[in-house]
Amino acid sequence: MAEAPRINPDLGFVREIRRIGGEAMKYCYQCGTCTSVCPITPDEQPFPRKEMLWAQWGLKERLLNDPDIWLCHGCGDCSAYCPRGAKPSEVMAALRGYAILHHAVPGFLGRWLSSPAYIPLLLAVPVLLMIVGFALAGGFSIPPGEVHYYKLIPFIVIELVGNGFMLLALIGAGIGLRRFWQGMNAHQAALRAASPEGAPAAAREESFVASVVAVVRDILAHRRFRQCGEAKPRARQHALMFYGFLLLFAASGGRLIYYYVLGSHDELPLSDPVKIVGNIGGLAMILGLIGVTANRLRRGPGVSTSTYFDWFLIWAFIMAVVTGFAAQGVRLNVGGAAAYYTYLVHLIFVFVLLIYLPYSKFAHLLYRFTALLWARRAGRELSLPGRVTPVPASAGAPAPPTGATT
Amino acid sequence: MKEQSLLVIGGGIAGLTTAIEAAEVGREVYIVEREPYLGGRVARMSRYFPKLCPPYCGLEINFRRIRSNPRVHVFTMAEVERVAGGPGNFEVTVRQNPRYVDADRCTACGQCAPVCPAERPDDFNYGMSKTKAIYLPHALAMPMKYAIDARACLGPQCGKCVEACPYGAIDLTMQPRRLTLRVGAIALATGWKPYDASRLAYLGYGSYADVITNVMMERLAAVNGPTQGRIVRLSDGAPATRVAFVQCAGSRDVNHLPYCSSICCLATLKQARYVLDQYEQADVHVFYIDIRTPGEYEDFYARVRADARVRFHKGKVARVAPAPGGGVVVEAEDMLSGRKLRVPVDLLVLAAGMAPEVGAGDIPGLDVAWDDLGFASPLPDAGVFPVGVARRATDVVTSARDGTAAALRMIQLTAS
Amino acid sequence: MAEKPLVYICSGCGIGEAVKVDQLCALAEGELKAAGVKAHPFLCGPEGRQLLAGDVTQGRPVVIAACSPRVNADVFRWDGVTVERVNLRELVAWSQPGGSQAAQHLAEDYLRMGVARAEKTESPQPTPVATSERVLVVGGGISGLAAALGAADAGHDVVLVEKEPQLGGWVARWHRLLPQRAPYRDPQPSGIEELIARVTSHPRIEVLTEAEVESTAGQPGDFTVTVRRGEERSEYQVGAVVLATGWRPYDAGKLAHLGFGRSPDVVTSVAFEEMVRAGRIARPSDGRVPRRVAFIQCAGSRDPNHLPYCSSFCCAVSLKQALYVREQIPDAQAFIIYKDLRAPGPGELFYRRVQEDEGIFLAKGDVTGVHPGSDGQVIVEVEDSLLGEQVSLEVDLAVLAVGAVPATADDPALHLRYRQGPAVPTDRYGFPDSNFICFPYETRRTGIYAAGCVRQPMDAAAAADDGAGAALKAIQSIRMAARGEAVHPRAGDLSFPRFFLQNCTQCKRCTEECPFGALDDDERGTPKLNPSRCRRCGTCMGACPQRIISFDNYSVDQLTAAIKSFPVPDDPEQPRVLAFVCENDAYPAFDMAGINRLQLDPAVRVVPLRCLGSLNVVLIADAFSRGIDGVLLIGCRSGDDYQCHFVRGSELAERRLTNVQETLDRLMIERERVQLVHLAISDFDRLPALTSEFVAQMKRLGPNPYKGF
Repeated sequence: MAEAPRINPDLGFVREIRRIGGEAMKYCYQCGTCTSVCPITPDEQPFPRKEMLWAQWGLKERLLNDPDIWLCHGCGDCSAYCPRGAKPSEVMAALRGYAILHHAVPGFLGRWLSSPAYIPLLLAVPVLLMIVGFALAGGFSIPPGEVHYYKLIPFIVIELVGNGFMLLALIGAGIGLRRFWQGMNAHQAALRAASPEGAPAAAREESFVASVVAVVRDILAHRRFRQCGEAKPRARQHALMFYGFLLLFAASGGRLIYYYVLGSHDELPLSDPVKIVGNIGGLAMILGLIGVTANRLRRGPGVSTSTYFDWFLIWAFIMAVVTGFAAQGVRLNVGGAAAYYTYLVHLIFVFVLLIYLPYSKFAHLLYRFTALLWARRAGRELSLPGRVTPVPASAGAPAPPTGATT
Repeated sequence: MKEQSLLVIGGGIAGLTTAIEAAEVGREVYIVEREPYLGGRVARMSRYFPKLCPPYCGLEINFRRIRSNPRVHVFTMAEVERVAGGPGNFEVTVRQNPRYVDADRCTACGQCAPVCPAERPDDFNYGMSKTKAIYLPHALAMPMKYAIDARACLGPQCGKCVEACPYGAIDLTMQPRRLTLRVGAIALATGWKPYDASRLAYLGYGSYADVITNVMMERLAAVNGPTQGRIVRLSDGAPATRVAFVQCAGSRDVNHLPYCSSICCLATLKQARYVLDQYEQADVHVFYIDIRTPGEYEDFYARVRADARVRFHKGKVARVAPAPGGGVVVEAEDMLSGRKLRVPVDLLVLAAGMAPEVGAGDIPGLDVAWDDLGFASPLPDAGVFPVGVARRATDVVTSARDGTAAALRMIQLTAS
Repeated sequence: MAEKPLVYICSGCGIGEAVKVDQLCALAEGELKAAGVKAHPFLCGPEGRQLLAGDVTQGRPVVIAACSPRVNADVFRWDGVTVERVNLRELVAWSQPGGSQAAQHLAEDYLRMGVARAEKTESPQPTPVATSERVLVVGGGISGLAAALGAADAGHDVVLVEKEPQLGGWVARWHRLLPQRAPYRDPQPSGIEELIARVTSHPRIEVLTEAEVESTAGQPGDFTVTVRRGEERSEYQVGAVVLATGWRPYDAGKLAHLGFGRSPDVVTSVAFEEMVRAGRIARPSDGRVPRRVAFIQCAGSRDPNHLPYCSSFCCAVSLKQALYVREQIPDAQAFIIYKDLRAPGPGELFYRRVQEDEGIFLAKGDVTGVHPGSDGQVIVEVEDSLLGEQVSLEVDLAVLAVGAVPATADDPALHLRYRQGPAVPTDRYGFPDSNFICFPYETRRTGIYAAGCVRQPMDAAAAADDGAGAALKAIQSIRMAARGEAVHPRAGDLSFPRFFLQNCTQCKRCTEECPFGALDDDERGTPKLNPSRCRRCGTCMGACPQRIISFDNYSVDQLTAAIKSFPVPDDPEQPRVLAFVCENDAYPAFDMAGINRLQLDPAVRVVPLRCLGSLNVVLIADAFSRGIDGVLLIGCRSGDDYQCHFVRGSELAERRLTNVQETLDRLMIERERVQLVHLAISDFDRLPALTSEFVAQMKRLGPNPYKGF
């Protein structure tokens, strides 16, 4: 007889998950209320009940490769109904945070994002880059005349430095995601082996591209997020931020077209379509951020916990968007040195937001996309409310007498 | 000199046991019961686990012991208003609420009820049926006397029952009266009430008629219940052959009752038997966290489990939706098979827990320690002994033990 | 023979409308030759009571033909007066169509039977037994100590017998007990030393350690107990006994599949507790401090191959012991593998508190094997767990949460000198058989009350309560024996069986069948009654083929007189059926049928019995010889889930019935004419169909062939 898999709790992992938001998880007594109320779990091997057990038992490897922690959108229904106050939603969030740090390449960046102690360091990197850049460019001086930010730092420099770092970050993220994909495969195989009767459904017959398209469509539609019961506004807030971010991204692209195609360096007037798109995006972001922040403050510690990991991303967004608007406002209304300084601060926060993306909560867009894609291809679909599943006859069969020596 | 008489507050199984056991040793005992009859919650049970024997059987014995023992004094429709004094010499003020029916003259002949124009929800049947405003609480009521529900009665201007009563037993102007009892020790046997299921809206209670509580299921199964023992869907009266039970509905839940109510698993096993015994084609599902059947109750669990028509799912129901054609669909994870189930059933029975009936401050002057859960425990040398579910959620056997032990402690305390 | 009775007939509650009361009066005056007959429209009312108070006199029986004997017992009770109740209300007026001839006949027959019974009833003379008020407590564990202290504080002398050199039992060997008070977080000291000190210093308690009960003879109020200490024997007179001999852990030697005996580092929960109490958790194999400890629940319990029942406390004990591990060993891990985690009541709060500890890991699963690993570790194999279909744990120490076996499974303890043997009768697992569920203390040996884990597995706090409860029952049985009263369930009954021994054939049926072992054999081999052991059920009376056993107020003679008191018509359209019914369950069911105005077949005459076990088969023969067409026996369920309050009454009735049926065959009477039916008290709704179908069946069979002889 093959040796059964050995269970080895990792006490350090337990402590870490409890520290970063899952402190109540040990209260779980495996009732499955969470899986029952969860509006977005698949029917086969549903979450988050099993994740709660694995987390209590410190089964780190299972959890890090578990796609389900990413299928969870943190609606919070489970935490609201949990009879033990074990807060599964928060535990899942903590697991996601841990997974981002775990998969991070290079690893030290993950650690930098895990504690407020590193904030000065995080900010120091872009500041240092600027100091070095200006030193190389022969010193720092406020350009005279009408404010055009390219005068301070040429676009090409921002493009090269920014995209260079982005590329490095994305390479790191790519390595992490690849490991994650392989880990999910291995995890699935292990689950299949451990529990043949409850094995997930067969893989979906569909081209990879078709899967990507389908997942993107789902994400754009917020199909899963919209199922959330307990935190309905969250889907709306997320959509505001999500589309706001996309609009800002599109505006940046438009700006590049002006630059590379039309050769225009000047700041665009507010009436320019690109500017309009960007400002709408920024406003959407702000509305979303206000909602998210209010939501987190209102819910209070009794219902759910917001961790540093959550707040870091919120603040990074707030700072990036607010400084962005400030840079625009000061440029138009004050001008001069104030505008250029505001712009530099804005650049620092954009750097923080984008370059640290694979290591902050922002990475969820990469991991969740990957997990959704994997889940789609593995046939782990969202369950449909009201569907009736036949009960397997084995579920009620008398337990075999134990005690017989095997 | 210590008072030798004893007071028992509450005439359910714990209180009855306390009183009778003490009286048979030779003490005078007063029972103060709020309802118009003795027997408390168990009188409303159809059967006991694990023998599936009717509670009436044991109650009949206890009632006969009371009838033949002049040392037991029963006050029904009475409440303790105030306790003064201390161990050995309590002075207890009892408010005797008006029954509006003279117990010395009522013969329970039943001529009054048919002429009564007013109705009341029958709380004996947890509101699933109605009685007239003048009613006999139930067929084994002790005392076997009618009572009038003042909330439903139209008052002296109606007076139809007064005319109908051949024995002049009805007095619609009856007033509450107070009496003072001097006793040496007090047993607090105020028992329990079912946890308020309206707080379990997420399980469909209040939204769907076919979601009921376990105490309602007892009445449905009882011959003297609202359906004469037929287990049916409340929505349309169709036979309820497919029945699901949700364990820990309110119990073991920090949002509701943080403790385990101790009896619900066994109650569910028993109620599963009701369904199995009534319908050949029964299809029963029990959704549980842990099945708790201590001691020899385990035999009962094993026997119910052996019936292939009952299926046990480790996993709690937390979503309930209406089913087309009546009944509801319950949703839960069956964790041993690793999948989420959606099971259509005719009846969903919430195994709701027990909440203490009386709490801190309800009886001024009563010297006991109330804990955060709402239960009472004795204070040293206070002369007040909580028994049964007033003390913690427990079963009939333990209540009987508590009552017997408390009888000793009261006698001990007041021994001359 | 008693004097002719006074007969009072109430016409209230519909009786007057259902039957012709004047004809009943005429019957009583004429045929029944009553000493006086009065009818009244409201006999239980003030005027009726006044009328009765003026009439009743000492020594003259009174027949009250009115409502059920189950109501107005206090109204129709006079000291020194025999009262016979005739139930015209529930059994006639409320369950028969009003004004019918059949109802009139029924009422008349009930009146005839009532008068016949009254004439055969004597006021019972009590037989007090009051030699000793002392209480014997066997077992000095927590329940025994609580019982001893309780009885002593209530004013009774106590002898406490403990077989070990010290008092305290298992609890004295525990490190901590489960939390008993809010907030139910921390295990607490047992305080057993203080309890022991109070017991040993109590002036009323005599403590005998290293002592065992060698024999127990006698009856409540008068037991003679021989206690042996070493070679020394002493005799004690006691009034009642508390049996608190406790439990032992299930023999772990039988749990080799769980690694016991195969690795020294697999220990029982008892050994583990003692290890903790001794101060250091260490592996027996090498003395190392374990870093990982597994607790394996239901080790032997809930297992058809070992103890099929649940031992109740092991889950909470393992939670407590896991805390010990975490408190005493930094960074240790404790695992609990359970089938169902059972922490009822406020135990849930303790469970949740234990879960707070990050180093305690709980999971549902079946432990299928425990075996030594390759490098001194212990491997625990788990199946069907939530962690996976098959997983294993590697630990340094495995603790088997072994179950509890009642001491009575091994040892009769009291060594009763009873005809029926030395042991208190037990159920299949060795727990004393009790009147579960309403009257858990009632064993089948009167005056002997089990307490603590010998009765049911329970935790220490419950065991202490249980000891107090058993002490109350012991005191109560002493008091009741001293008054000559029966104990539960016929509490207060002063009657007891008398034996007309001249006609005894020494067949021993009474001594063997008594459910409570009340009868011994005397020197000549005839039955010797121990009155205070007797519960007055009349099983002996039902058993005796010679009909020599009778109570002053309840006898075969009295029942025969009742059966013979009424005429049986020859008309095949008017069959007559006798229903012998258990008075605790079936009779109230008839009452409730009446209260619900269910119609019963008028051919049936109900004869209440103390218990179906008291039915002597001669009564069935008498009935048939009288021309009765059929006999129904309605009693309580027998078997494993018996509901008989005298434990074996309905079972014995069933057994006797098989003999009766052979006799019927010889007499050429159809077997179907006698039927035994189980009916619970709440099954009153079955009565209309039950009675009418039986009557219809008798009509189909045709008249009893002996009719008219």
